[in-house]
Amino acid sequence: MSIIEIKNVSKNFNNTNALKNISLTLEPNKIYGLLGRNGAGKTTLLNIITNKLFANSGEILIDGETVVENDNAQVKIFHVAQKNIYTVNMKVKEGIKWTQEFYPNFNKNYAYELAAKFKLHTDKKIKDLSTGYYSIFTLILGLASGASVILFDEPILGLDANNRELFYRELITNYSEQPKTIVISTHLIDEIADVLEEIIIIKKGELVLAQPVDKVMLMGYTVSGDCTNVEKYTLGKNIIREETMGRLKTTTIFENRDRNDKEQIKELDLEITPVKLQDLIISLTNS
Amino acid sequence: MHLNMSGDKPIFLQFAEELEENILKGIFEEETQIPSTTEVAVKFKINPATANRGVNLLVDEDIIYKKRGIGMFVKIGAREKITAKRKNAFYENYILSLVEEAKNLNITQGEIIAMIERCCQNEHNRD
Amino acid sequence: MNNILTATKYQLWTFKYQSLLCLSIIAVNILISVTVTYLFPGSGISAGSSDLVTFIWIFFVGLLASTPSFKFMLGNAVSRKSIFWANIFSMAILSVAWAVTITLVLSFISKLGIKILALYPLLYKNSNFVSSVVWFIGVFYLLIVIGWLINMAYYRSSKRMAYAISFAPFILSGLLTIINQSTHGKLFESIIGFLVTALGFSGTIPNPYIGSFSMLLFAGIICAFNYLLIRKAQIKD
Repeated sequence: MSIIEIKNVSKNFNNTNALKNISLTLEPNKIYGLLGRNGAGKTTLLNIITNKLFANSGEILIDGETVVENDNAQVKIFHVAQKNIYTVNMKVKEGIKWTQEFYPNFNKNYAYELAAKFKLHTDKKIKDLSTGYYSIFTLILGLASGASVILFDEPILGLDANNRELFYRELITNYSEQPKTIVISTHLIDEIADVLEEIIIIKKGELVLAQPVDKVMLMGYTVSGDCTNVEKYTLGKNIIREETMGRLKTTTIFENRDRNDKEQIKELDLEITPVKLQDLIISLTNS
Repeated sequence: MHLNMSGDKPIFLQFAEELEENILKGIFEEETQIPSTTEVAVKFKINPATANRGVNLLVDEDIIYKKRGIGMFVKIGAREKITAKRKNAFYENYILSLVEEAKNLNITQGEIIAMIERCCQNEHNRD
Repeated sequence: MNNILTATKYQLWTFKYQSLLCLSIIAVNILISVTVTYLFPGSGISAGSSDLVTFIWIFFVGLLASTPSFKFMLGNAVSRKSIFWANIFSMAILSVAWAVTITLVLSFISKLGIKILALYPLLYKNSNFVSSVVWFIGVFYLLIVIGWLINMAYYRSSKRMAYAISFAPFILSGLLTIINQSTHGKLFESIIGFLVTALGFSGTIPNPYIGSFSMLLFAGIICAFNYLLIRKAQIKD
């Protein structure tokens, strides 16, 4: 059970701002969705948390200690990364063995159980695994790591629908039996929308949103009707998407609704519909 | 059981209501065990915490109780309680929107009542 | 501390495969020499280069093994400090193991009656087991950390700097030659004089222990640079 505090973290690469002043807390026993477009800075953030990159400013603490060059802190975190770090001739079972060496709480039996469920052959060389099976290999390591924080970076890349289902099932069972902090950075939001408790959205290196899912779902809604009426209602509100078809206008708003708003909607004869999480994220991350 | 992510209703509430529905239908009988929150969370791909919230709601309403070390069971009298709850909510959930829609379509009160009577007759004839 | 131990273990494990490769090359080498010697006795052909093979091999281990291990360990909760010490220790252990192995191989070959062409006996004119091992430890460790240094230097450099590093030796030797000519040969004289003393040749009997000590000292300085380079090393895309 660990808490991670990210304070004013910024990172530049060759004169581009990859991350701008990110401040965020990852509380124990929560599943976070880390969402954003390609190149938004999600992987950079995960790499800084796991001491692979250095922030240009700001700090990251886990249970009050810095994560930088700190073996004791880093062993609490497991990064299921996209980049292949497994040396040329390592077999899956050797990968499991060495991960166990570096992570004292690693559960080897559980790892082999999962390998059997996913039909991952442990005698195979890691470099010979397909993209999908490489993802399966690393997510198994993550689930069995025994770490109190697991960071999944695009865990379902290349996984077919059956394996994705299996992953979600194992993830939920694992989390249910042994609460921990889980961060899932992914594009395929709809499939895991129900599993997420909090959403973090990063857009062009900036933190756009960090809220519980229910709250986000309540804040996002669509009003449609006659365009003059819609415009009357949406004046001054946080509009994230607009579509017009003749006199019919559909506007998506991201803001809390109060009683006055509800009455106004009735008066103006507007139709109000909820928004799918995936669509909400797309609208929030569009330029 | 079907849960709707983009609905207005929070998931845990939907889940609690689905559970009640199944208890009412007799799928989960009184004094029998209901699936654990882990099982449910896995089956419906929801967060275990959400499942817990739904279950705790029903525990608060005295519909389910926890047997330590074993699991969760449907309390005796649960069906009655649920029925009573639903009856109270009937007005809010059904009558209000019915009257609203009727107003939109200019259906008079008399016509509404006639429709209800017709419906009840048909049900009776079918039985 | 625990982490350093595990990391050292891992590094040694990665060296294992490569060690087997080197051993097999040497074994083949010996086999050929033995066969030739017995087929053509008195031909004066000797079993050479077993040690040279190892010199080249261990240099490449330092050069090529560092980065993959670095990435792997960084991805397994090991800090750069710990990775540094793991390298120091594992490379030392590797050097010792190979020093003993090579000395044994050389004495084995000579016992078979085959003439050896190897650096150590040539330079120090003895076949003392201990001094041979000590000397080889010095050479091996120096070579492997130089490989490591070159690897780290390239890893930390931008493209431009990498070109600069590649050309540096040539430019340096060119510069030294020019300076040497302007001092009428005095520069190279003093450099060679220094090397002679450092490698233990200044006395009447060549001293491998002094040679080993100097090489280890130099290796230590290089490792200090390696520490500075690894401290701020970040992963690349």
